[in-house]
Amino acid sequence: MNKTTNRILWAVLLGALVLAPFFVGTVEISAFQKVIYLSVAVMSLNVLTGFNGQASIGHSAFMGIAAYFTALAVQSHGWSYWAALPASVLVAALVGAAAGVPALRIRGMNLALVTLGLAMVFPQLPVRFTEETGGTQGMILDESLGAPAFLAVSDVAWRYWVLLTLAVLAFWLVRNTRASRLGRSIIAIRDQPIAAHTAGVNVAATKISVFAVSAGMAGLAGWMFTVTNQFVSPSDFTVLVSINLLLGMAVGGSGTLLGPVIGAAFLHYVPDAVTATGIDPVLTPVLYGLVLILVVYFLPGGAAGGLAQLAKRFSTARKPSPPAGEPARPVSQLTSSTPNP
Amino acid sequence: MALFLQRVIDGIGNGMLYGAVALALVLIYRATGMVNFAQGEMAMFCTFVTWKLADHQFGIGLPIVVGIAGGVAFGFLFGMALERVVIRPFESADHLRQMIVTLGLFLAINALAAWIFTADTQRLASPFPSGALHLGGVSLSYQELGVVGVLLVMALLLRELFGRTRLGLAMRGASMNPESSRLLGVDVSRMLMVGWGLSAAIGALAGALVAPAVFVSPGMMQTLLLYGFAAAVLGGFDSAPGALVGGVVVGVTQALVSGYVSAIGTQLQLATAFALILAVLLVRPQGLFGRVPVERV
Repeated sequence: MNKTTNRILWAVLLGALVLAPFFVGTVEISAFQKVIYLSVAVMSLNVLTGFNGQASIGHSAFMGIAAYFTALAVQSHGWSYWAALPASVLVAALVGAAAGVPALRIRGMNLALVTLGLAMVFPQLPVRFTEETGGTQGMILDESLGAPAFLAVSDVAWRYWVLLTLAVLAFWLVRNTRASRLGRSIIAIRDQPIAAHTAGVNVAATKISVFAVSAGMAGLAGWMFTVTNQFVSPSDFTVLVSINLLLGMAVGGSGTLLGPVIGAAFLHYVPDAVTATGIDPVLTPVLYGLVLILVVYFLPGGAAGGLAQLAKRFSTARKPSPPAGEPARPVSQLTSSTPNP
Repeated sequence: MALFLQRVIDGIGNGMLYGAVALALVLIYRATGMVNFAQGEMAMFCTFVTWKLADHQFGIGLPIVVGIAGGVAFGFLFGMALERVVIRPFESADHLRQMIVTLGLFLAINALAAWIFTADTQRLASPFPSGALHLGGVSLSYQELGVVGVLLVMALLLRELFGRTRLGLAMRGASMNPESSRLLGVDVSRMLMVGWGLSAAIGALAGALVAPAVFVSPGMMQTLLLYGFAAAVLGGFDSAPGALVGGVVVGVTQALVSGYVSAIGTQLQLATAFALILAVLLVRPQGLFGRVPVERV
């Protein structure tokens, strides 16, 4: 797939998404909203794990921190949703930076353990402070993010556009960062930490920044969660949510831009599809687990990686074959790192 | 003073269970270099098997000791099957992929247990009599004494297995130096499979012993897993005695902290385990008993 077709495809997709509220009903729009915040959440994990190679099972906690921050600020302290947006993202990013400091010394599996701890402790915090947060019952927000009066659009459509805009901004930021010097350092740290260090990359500072940005982005997803559902409870941010985000990343394709969108759509629509086939919904996580294992084994690049390979195969098939005498070598033999379409 | 002693003793009782979970984790880590996030769920599944064998209302109604033996035997086979079918293809994969695979197992086993057995909380009988031994102002429940006794016997048996038997030595060889072991005629893959079986069996035993206190449910082992991780990290992650000692330290710390620090209380007990993991990894990443890994660059 060349650059122009790529751009056209993204533009068409975006245009369709922007115009969606004029063509589909409220139910679908709410579903889209969930896919949007899941996309941002999966992307936040992707930034950390897919691009930088740091493992995290703690992203449910970063989401939860921002979601609860927003809920408490709006419901108990009379903030507007808009005021809570930068504040909640900032809080999540700060907690992320704090978690990133030990990540300098703690690598690989041990980092996964620490973030697992974070994910398991977080749902207990609202229970500990039941008076303020409603404990296991969760808290309902009376206020909703409504459309400004001068715009004659429904609140649902407005919320959808707000979420879509923020998500596009976040993805655009990731895309541009990846192409920058910083982005290349981030990927270099994933593939060759020692070589990156030798080449003058400040590994420590980069890792902490990536952790903070990733957590802040998870926080954005948390803010979106509260805006969408007007409700938060500890069970929305358990460790299972973190595992689902990992599933979304693996299914969609880690280290890509399209992957998180595919992964989020998978996470949102597959449970409904499973129920529709008449299979007991209790079994959905079994399917998730199997898909996760099979994808990691057969399709390490996820759906996005698979699509890119397919596209490459189509485009190379039309090109003339290389001259005889010089055997064509597949790209996979030349580079050992994972493909980055 | 009596209250303090009581808390220490309760902490030791819980800590031995954390140690058992940690031991299960350490066995797999030593054999295959993997951190098994599905360890708790595997133990939970086996505990449901025990419950099915022993429960009078929903199960077969066998004596509880037979039920536990059945659960442990099932655990051994279950662990071997998982290693053969799911884990072996990822033996040489990177850590991230191994982590994702065990997390996939976590999801699948958790939901499978809820579907096959029940998502409700169930009661499991204890193999030990109720009541307690009173010594001065301190009471030692038979449950606690029994748990500590059984796990100590298990630890001694494991020591014999790894120290004196042909199988145990072959297993150690297979994990320490697979190449040379292969040259000596050891079937390395089979040894790794046995390691997973053994680990799952230990988990099944821990699950059955903790079940009278926490009841049987698909989520029963999730907090225990974090305590187990804390214990394993404290013990150095590759040391079997370290896992048990680490478990006891975690148990006692947790009992004292939640007893004396009111801000933590009972709701935030897990935070103790989290803080311990963080502190150990920052201050002494090799734990109390672990070796410092030397990496050749």
